Amino acid sequence: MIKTTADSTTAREMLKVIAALIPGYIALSLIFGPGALIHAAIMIPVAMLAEATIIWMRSRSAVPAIKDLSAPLTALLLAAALPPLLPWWMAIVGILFAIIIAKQLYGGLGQNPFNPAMVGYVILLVSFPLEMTSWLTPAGAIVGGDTIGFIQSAEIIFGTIENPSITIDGVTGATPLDAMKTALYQGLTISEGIKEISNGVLAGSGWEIINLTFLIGGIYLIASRTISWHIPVSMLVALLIISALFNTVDPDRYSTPLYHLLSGGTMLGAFFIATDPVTASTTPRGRIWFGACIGILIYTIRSWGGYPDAVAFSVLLLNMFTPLIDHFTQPKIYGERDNG
Amino acid sequence: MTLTNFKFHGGIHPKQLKDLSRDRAIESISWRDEDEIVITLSQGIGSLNHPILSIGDSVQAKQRISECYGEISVPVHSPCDGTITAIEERPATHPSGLQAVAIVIKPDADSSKIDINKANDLVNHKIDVSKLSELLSSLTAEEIISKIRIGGVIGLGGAGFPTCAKLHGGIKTNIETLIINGMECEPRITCDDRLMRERAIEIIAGVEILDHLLHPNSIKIGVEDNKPEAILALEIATTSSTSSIEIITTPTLYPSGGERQLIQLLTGKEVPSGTLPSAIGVVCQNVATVAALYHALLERPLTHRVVTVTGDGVESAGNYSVPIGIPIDSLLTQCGVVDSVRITVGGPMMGFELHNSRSPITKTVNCLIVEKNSSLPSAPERYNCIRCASCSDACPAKLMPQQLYWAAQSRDFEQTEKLNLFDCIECGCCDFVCPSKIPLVSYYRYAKGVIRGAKQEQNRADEARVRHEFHDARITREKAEKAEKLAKKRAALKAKKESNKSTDKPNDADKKGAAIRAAIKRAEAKKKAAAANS
Repeated sequence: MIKTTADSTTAREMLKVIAALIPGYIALSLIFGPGALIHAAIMIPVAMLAEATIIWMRSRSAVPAIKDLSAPLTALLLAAALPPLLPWWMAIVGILFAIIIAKQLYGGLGQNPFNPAMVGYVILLVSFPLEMTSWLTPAGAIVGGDTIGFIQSAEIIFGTIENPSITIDGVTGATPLDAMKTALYQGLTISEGIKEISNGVLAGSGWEIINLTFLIGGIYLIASRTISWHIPVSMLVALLIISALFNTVDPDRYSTPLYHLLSGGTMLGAFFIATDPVTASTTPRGRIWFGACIGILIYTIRSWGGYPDAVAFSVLLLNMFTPLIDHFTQPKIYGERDNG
Repeated sequence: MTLTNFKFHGGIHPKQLKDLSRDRAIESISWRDEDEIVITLSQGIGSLNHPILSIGDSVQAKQRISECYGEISVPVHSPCDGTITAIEERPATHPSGLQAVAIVIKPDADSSKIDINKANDLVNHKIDVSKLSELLSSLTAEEIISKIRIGGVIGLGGAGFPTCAKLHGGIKTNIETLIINGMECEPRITCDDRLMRERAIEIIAGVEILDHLLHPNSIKIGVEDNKPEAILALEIATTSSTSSIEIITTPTLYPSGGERQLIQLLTGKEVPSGTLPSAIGVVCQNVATVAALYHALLERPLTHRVVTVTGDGVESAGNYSVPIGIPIDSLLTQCGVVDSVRITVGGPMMGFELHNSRSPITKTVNCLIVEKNSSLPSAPERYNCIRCASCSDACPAKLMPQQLYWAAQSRDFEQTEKLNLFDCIECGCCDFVCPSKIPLVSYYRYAKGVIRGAKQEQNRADEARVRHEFHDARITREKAEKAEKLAKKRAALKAKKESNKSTDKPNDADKKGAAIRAAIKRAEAKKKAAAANS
């Protein structure tokens, strides 16, 4: 029987998340050139095609899966996380892995235990560590006085330039998080490291602007009730507290809270990645634990681990604990007795 | 009028759609000459009734036609003068569309005019306050409840819980708050709204009866703020009341009329899981029920109720006072039903689709939604659950519908019980908000059905086991008894034998010896005699 229902649909929720990514994409494109947009343009059709193919192989109708917009969203999230000049085929490897292995092999939308975009990201990171850590510096994004343009980006991404490492020598480099880690290994202090790597005020090299734009999108998602506040707030607060603690104890070795909040994938992770409802905890208290643990893990890996950024690993690790967290954080129901 | 300070978790704002019928005053619709009245023997919750009349017997309006056993059961009455023509299975007004045993009455010719006139008399009904209070003071609490029970009153808000059972629970405990439910939170339904507007004095009279019976510390009537006219009418009616009655307005939010949600809204207290409201000193009654129990006390049993008929499939939507037992198709025909419609019994949130329009109006039917098939939206496309938690945000029982769904879908019924499946009130908020358009409640109903079935099966198995064990015990006991008897017999025989050995045998030998000796003597004597003779 057909029941009265609210207007919201899965596709509409996905569309809201896609809309919330717009400011972040604008910032990415202005600072690093249109690489992310080019990646997205490649990955969205590939994602949809891969999804449709697998569903077709399972003898099911692919139309609903295409209409739910979850595949394009995964592509957009992954594209936002990739270095802007990553070769096109690597981007395709990443999205195919995300859609086919991480999502469809588990049964498609809603069935996957791990965040598909982050699985794709991590596969690329462990397979192509050099390419995946070569980011444009904002200075590098300006070639001959101009911001790196569409043509240049495309040429590099599609490899039509013979040896891109020479052509854009000096324009690619590590992310501030990566550079800071290197600086610390070289025995520099945080404040010296900041001077070394950063034109930005806080987190270096335009990253604070990118993070702020993702924050804006995230606030829209909370305001429109697309996501609940629990995960992003607990994650950011946990990151803030733990970084403030270590920064107070030893400011020469541990970066400031603002640096952590506004660099790397912090905001993208907090509002767009960790909040993926399929793979995140679903109880209110569980979401707070889930977010807080991700925040702490991000700090731990960034400060003492081997990788410069840690959003992907932290989210995937906590995805594993989601059933456990849900089990132990069941909310008190209406009329539940205290002993029960 | 006061506003409530309390809230319940979740809830939704479906479109109200009450305009079609909310301004239509209650009108009477009775049977047509060709109609028969079908009184189902199980109305609402409670054990089955037993007919007390036979086919061919004539009945009068208000006459009781069944009896029932057990505290949670009330009898049914004939709404009309007529003749019983059948006691047989008829299509039930139930989601299953199954048959149920019913008493079928053919109303006397032209009796519907009398029915309408009586109903119209009720519109100008005046309450004889002194007579009522005299009556109340002459009766014990048990007698009052008994009258309400014999009057066939059950909860008219939907669930159909016998009112007498609630009141029995109420007089046994100290009742702090009496709550009267005038929320009518489901979209489209307006029958309680009209009742409050037009018959507030009957409701208040009923409240006074409950006040007399339960002695609550406070009486609260809850009404959603989308019914200002009803609130006004109740306020006017309460001014002359001897009971101190508070009318409390709550924001329009579904399902604020759910008993447990309303109790939380008006008292801030939660009814403990698995108990009845009387456990926390609350008795809750629907406005229509309260009016009905007032009439029941004055020997006017529950034979009619107000039903909202709405939707684009009828020409004259409105609120109709109808005899209980009238076939739904008769009612709809008289409202001008169009062809090819879908009929929903109850509200759009908790109602069910009617399969057979010949099924009758029962005591719990508060609304009929009649929609043209052509205006129905096509079934929305269903997606996989993405655990977005919209459902748990909306759930007034604070459950985790998304996890219940996973457990029910994978037939992990043990897990559904751990997730408090049986605290689900099936309000449908989760269905409403689900962006993936999953019919969640039907999964929960299914799981509940399976678990209840398994429990029944378990009970039956337990009973069978106990029977079997008893049987075994009896067999072994009988065997033991037989063996004992046999042993005793044997022992007795043995003892006898033994005593024979010790005493009889020597005697035997003696006897034999004596006989031989006697025979020898006799032979010797014979010889002697022979010798003497010769």
